[in-house]
Amino acid sequence: MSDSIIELKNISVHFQNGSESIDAVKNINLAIEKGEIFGIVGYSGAGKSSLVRLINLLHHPSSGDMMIGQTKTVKNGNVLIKGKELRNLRQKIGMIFQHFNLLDQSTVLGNVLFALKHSKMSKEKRLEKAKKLVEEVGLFDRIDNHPSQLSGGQKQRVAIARALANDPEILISDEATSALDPKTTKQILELLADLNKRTGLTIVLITHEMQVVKNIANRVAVMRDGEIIEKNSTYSIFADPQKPLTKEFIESASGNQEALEKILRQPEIARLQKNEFLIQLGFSGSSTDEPLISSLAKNYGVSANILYGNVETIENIPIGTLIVVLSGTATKLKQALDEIKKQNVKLEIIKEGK
Amino acid sequence: MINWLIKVLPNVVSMGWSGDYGWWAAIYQTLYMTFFSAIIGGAIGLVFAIILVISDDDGILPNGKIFWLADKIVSIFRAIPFIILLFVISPFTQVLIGTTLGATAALVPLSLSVAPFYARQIQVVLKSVDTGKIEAAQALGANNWDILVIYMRESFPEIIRVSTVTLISLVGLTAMAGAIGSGGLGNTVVTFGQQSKYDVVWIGTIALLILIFAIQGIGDWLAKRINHADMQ
Repeated sequence: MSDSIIELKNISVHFQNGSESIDAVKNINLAIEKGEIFGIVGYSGAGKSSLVRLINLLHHPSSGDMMIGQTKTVKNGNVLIKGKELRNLRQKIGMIFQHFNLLDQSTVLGNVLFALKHSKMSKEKRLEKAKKLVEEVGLFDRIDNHPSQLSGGQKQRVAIARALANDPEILISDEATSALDPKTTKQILELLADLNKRTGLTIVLITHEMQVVKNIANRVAVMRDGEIIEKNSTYSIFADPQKPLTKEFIESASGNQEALEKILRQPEIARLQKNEFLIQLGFSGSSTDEPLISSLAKNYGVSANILYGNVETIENIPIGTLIVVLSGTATKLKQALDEIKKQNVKLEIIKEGK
Repeated sequence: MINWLIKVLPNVVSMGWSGDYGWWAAIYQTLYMTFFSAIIGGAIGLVFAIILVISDDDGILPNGKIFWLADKIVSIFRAIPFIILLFVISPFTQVLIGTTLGATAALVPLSLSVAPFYARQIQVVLKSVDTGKIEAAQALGANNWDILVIYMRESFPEIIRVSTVTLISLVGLTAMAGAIGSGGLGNTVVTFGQQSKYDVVWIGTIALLILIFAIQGIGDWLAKRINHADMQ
């Protein structure tokens, strides 16, 4: 027995839109562990939204099997639960959205109370719980406000309180921070990470921004055209991406690509001298501890001019990037590059002087 | 004062306030027809609107056949001009009310004419509720009844707004119902107008305008007051 709380086997979603046939999700196998934060990254139209809507059966699969906790919900493409049973399952799966989807004509409290409508608790208990939830997301002073009186971040907090009302075991976040500014995004992600830590809530987070998963996800899957093209721990995805699309997402999150483009436009780099190399070094984990640059100077007489450096910590493991110009005699340079290759460092020669 | 009124508005004064053909009777008949046909026609229209929204392809209980049927019924009744509908359904009115003449008999064609108009307006209003809100409610485990409540509550200010529009067009229809002897302000204006008694025409028109502006004013005020969403 695994600890999977969500298990998808050979799941596909097929739409027929007039004469057009669309495969939104293609043959996906995925097991999400209890208590983890699982990120799904992809551009819009990659099938992320369709995939997560299978979990709470807002969308129905065309084929495959699905287990939620101990409940078999889909077998051979047939949905096994419906009616009250399905509504009870949905209460155990919270969901938050890019555009919040709050009830505009209800107050903050009213929005949270709506989620408790089918709870077995007494009216007083429900009110008490709703108030506690609003307090937990830090909006107690806004409890009688309507959504139009709140900022985007506050609206998303209300949506989170509402999604947590029935004590779900799973929270689905559908681009929940995509409409928010960077500072608010950070606060919302911190709130989610805190919930995960305190209550063991399993979070499935879909986004088109690698920055979002970098901050909180334990594992990441990259989706394209309805398929998961790469799946790994967040650290491994960032330290050692395999697919070009994954690299593209990571570069967009780190700013390394942008830095490199600026460096290449500099005149001294454009006119790189003979016996000069422009290289990019990728360090990860323990290799960040080695004094590589200074050892190159000491052992080979090769000087390294650092143009750009960046260190990020993912799941407490540092990942660093350096862009440097190495210069020295031809033989020493070759030896130095061989030495770098021997180390646990990723070497990329970007430009060689002539 | 009275003498001056008799001089300026001779026919208005001779109609008198009370009596079967007085001003009060005309005002009362207009209010009576507007109010009751709004309730009956409004209820029928609302039911059709809800059927159209939930049975639509993207509704919560899609059903092609029911949608088709409801859609066709609304379209057909919407297409028949009111003045023709008055006579087309008169056998039905005879069975239902026992007569085809008078204000009560006029409630039948008025209701049947306003229902499809209202149904289409409410249909548009309910469809404009963000599907994200419906999806969020479903994700929370809401049942179909909860979702219907969300449709109604989230669009309530808009429902008030289109109800106001419907009520005003209904006042217009009551004037035409005069053709079957319904009475009312509109009928009074038309009858006296044909006899070139223009003082009654002016006063009757002013009374109708006051009624329409009152409905519009109350509707706008109410819609604004109960709305908590951002103004579009």
